[in-house]
Amino acid sequence: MEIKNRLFPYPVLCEENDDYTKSIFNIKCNRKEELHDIVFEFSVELTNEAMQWLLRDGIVECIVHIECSATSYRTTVKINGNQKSFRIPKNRVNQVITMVGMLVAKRPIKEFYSEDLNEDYQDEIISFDQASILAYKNLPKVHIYKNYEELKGDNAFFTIVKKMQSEQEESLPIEYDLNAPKIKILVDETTFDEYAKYRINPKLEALTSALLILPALAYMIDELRNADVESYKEYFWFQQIAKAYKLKGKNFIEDVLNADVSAIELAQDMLNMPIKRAFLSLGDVIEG
Amino acid sequence: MKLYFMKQQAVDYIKSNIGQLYINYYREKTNKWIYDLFDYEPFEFFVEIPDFELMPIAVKRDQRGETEIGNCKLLFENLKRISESQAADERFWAGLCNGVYYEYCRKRWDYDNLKFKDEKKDAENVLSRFFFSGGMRAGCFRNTLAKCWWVGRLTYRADRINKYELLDYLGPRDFATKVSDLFYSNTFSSNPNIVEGICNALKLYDERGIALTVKDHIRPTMQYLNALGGGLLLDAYTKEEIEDIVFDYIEQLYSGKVPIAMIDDSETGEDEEINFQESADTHVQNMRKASVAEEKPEEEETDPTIIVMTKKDETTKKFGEKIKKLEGNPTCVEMGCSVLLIRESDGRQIEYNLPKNEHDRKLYGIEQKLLRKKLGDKILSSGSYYIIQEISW
Repeated sequence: MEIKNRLFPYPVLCEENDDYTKSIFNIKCNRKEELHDIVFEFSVELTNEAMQWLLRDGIVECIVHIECSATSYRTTVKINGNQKSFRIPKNRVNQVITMVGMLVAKRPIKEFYSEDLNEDYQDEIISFDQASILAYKNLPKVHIYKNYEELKGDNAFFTIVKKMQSEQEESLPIEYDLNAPKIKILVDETTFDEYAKYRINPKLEALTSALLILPALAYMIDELRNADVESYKEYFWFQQIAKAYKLKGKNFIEDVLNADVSAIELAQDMLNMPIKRAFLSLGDVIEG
Repeated sequence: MKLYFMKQQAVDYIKSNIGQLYINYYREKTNKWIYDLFDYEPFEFFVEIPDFELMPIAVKRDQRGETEIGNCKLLFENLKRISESQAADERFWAGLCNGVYYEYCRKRWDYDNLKFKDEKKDAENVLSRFFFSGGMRAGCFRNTLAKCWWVGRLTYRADRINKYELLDYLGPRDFATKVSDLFYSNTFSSNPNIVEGICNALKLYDERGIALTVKDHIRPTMQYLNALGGGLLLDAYTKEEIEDIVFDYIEQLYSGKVPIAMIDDSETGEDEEINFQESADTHVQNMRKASVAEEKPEEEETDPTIIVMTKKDETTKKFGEKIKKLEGNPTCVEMGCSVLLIRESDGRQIEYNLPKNEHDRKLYGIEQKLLRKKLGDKILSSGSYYIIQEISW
């Protein structure tokens, strides 16, 4: 679960509105990976005095709602005090884990008052029903990619897939599919068979990159710039690219996608200038 | 039995070319054609498990729900060692549907007799039945076999005598639609308490032979829960509270107290704007009234001439109230009933409150004798005769 664009019939302390003027509700989350578990360390910051009293009296509770929609994992972790450690077995989750920290009413609260409430609520009698969310904070999503068999040791973030062609079709245009763990580059049978002949030749790597992968990456950058980046973050290819940029000290979204550089330039940079390398390798290929 | 993954490369190839290949699922009785497609082994060994057979496929379409429920139990029971993470992987289910269970899956969808309709739709159907389409979650609840495993997983309760009790409460009628509405469209059903509360409420209707339909009762109720979850955290409720909410809403729908409002898009998420927030607000207000009332409980009027031998707990009380709403007072003594007896020798009135379930507490000898007796019946206990004067919930 992620709370976004939601309208509540009562004031809520969160980053997305100004129902409270100065108060802060924040949950910081540190994550470490162990052999079988993912361990989360939560620490809570709450500066609203009225809510602090409700928490102390056990009328509200602080929880972190954890969900992995792909594996139907959904649980709430109660935080007593301001720190909590929680483990999730890795085999219970896949793709994306979403987390929201919340203050939730354990029972109805009548005539709630906080000095920090926005003046819009000055004359309002505020009450909360059981299970109302008094405060929340969306925590950063955790992306997980699992691999069970042939992907082991293979960090390539694209895959070339043969597309069948009918007798009437002499050739088919190349297509790309980003909605998969690896970027799919779909080529027709003739192209694929030729590619298959040469793919093991290291001298042709630059040429293959220039012909097949360069346009795929340019397409991917264009798509990410025009669509919701969030929906692609779960994929292995996205994580690999982000990781590669992180090693260079760059953030893939902020420093690369949002930079004022064309998609084709960026793609060339990602592949270490494959066109030039392709031409340089041509001599070797012809002589070889 | 050896289980195999389908290699990603093979999955990618078939899915990318499904427009041309789907026809093989109609024509080819065995999966030899899949092996012939590749110059490499398309499957990879994953795990070995004891042999088991899936349910025989019901010939009549309206009995397919029984087959599905049976398969939910069989698949989860036999593949319990598969982790949730592995069970969410398309390659695993593609391996099963296109490998060891290829013939079963073809038979399940009757591909031997299925006529071609719209080319695109036919291909899409093959995709969602033999592979995953529409993402991981959609795949888990649409793929022929994955769907059964996941429903089994989400309704399995290790602490029950009948571990698949909740699944039985769901019932075989409109099973596929129920799965879609309850498990796929609404992620709140990933919370075990919420699923249990919903299934327990459905059980009350099912046991009384009250037929609920997905369209008129279950779907609107799920949409209502979804709307409620827009302003409140459903996970903060206990399973009993969820049961109450679901029961009350279905009861209102059934008795026509609320109109059956339908949202066309059954995939509305918790985070999306929902039309009948008003309805949810009414519920919230009702709950508020109820909770205010709870804070100042009125003194219960008790008749001093009646000896209450066994007390009624809160769960049984609520259960009784619900049943009363559905079918009035019982005609014979059942679990969860209150029974007023008159001792023949001195005319004293004695009340017994039977627990809702047999495992809640052990029944007294006299309570056991009372079961299935009717109004006016006479029973002998500890040397005295007792006449049943009143049976109520």
